[in-house]
Amino acid sequence: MSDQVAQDRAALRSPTAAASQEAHEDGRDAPASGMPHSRRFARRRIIVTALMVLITAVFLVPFYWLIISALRPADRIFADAGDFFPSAVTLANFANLFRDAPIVAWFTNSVILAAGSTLGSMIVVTMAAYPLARIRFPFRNALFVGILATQMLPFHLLLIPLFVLMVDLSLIDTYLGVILPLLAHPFGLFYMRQYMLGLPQEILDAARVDGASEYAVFFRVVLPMVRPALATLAILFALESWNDLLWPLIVMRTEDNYPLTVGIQSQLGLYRPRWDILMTASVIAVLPVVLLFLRMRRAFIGGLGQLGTGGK
Amino acid sequence: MSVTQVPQQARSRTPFFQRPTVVAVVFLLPFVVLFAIFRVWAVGYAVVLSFKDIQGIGMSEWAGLDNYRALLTDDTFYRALRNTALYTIGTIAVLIPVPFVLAAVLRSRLVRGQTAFRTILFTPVLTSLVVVGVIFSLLLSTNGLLNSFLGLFGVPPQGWLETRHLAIPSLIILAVWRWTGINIIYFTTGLSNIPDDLYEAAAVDGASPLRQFWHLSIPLSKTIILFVTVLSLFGGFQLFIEPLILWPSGTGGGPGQAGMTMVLYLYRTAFTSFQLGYASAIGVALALIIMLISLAQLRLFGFFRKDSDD
Repeated sequence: MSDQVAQDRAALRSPTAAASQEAHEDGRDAPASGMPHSRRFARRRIIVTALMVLITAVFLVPFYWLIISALRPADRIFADAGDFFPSAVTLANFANLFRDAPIVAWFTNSVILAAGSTLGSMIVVTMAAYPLARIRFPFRNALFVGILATQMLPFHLLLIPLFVLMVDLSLIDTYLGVILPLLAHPFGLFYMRQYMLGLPQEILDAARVDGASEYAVFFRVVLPMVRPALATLAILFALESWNDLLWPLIVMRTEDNYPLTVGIQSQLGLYRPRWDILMTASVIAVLPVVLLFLRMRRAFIGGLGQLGTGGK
Repeated sequence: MSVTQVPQQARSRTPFFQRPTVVAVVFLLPFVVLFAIFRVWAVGYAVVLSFKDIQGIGMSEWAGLDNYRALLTDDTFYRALRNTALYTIGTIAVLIPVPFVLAAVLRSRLVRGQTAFRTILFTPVLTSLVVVGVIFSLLLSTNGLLNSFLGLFGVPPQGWLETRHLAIPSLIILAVWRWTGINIIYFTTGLSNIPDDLYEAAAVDGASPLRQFWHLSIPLSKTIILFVTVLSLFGGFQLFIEPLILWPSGTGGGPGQAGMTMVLYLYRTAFTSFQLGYASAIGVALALIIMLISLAQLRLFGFFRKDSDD
């Protein structure tokens, strides 16, 4: 047990090094071996890092499969689904995609829907968050708690009433029909309110003392200060809309009005799925998101880590 | 405008549109109106519809409790409930411990290049579930990559998507790939909130790193573990896109409906058979089940704070 003291010194420097023990406990405790720069530490580091490389390599396989399948000759995609290395590589599938599917329309629709719902949600949510965080008025907390409480309900409960409503409003097969029902985003409101609660009171007071109306305070003082939160919401809303299948699947009825997700899904229902179209359209659906993510890693992880629950 | 004017202004009558309550209403109006129509009213209408018998739009009559009575003897509903519960339990069993350990390892000094690992593990979270489903229907097909990998160890090819008892495991494999990254982020946040001096004190008392992990990291992450469990529960019970994509044909739900889930059944009932009333009853049942379980869970862990951490 006395050897543990040495280990503890290592733990002292790296508290969570403890966890590594889970990954590989080799059972031998040599005195002084716990020092971060000792041989034993170095060996452990190599083993754990190698393990992580292995795990992440496995996690990369589906992405590799997406790309390699899109590049296989069309008739080999499903037939060779077990071959790690393709027998041949071609870009012909992309030509097929542009020839045989309304991919430009699907992509444009995805962009329009994502832009529309993102912009709309940001405006609606930011406006509502301001009084909930910064203005005293009757029933403020009751209203806020009530809005959050509805998050306990699954979105799917609303599918049918919303569908009936969209039919009544003649919004089936329209952009507005997809965008409108999802605009009031409770998680977005929650996030923005939290952020606004953190703004320094003195700055708001100073503006009010200078005679600014509440509206001026909002537009000239609050909005510039919540820019980071707006960026987070933009990423969150855009991603959610871009990847959403269920609601646009119900609202959009004409092939030319489908966003990418619905378009891809529609190909699967066919008697003989066109794997060339499926795989290439999938690449086009994923690529912009991944590229954007690699450029703005921090903002993505920060935003989704806070409220990326897929909650509608 | 000088500062001294303000008290005077405040004493004099505030213009209507400057009164705090009026300002609040103006700012809240768009959200509250949209929310009232598309959430509050919709929830109420869902409940109303669940008591109706609807044969297409505009042709409905009251059915009393008929839909609910039918639900109680509906084998497909029970199958969907069972599958959904199995999937949820299965994903929680994997997607809590594995990301927790990974998060702890990635925070330690035992790994180089943490950022790269986190980035790679996180990327699946961004991928559209439709695309994930398409990729996995290739990976899991009988002649797919998973089988050719298992073949290296002499395992005969499995019909991952064609065999009853492999439907839920297939969905769990997909879920592990898709959600590990986000849970790592949650757990990393949780672990970084534990003060370092607790570990230092434990170390001075002679606790090994493994014991520290067991007696400090895990109990002090109770809140975040509960949070992630509730999220997984929510997500699990709303499983829909994955089985829809993996088993796209006909009645859906995979071999012997082994991949039929509550939401998939709701969707098929509403938008394939157009039984909107019955589908609403499924939705209400789903909502009740989710609410009961998460309330029970929160109570169990002694939680009833609205603004608890993140």
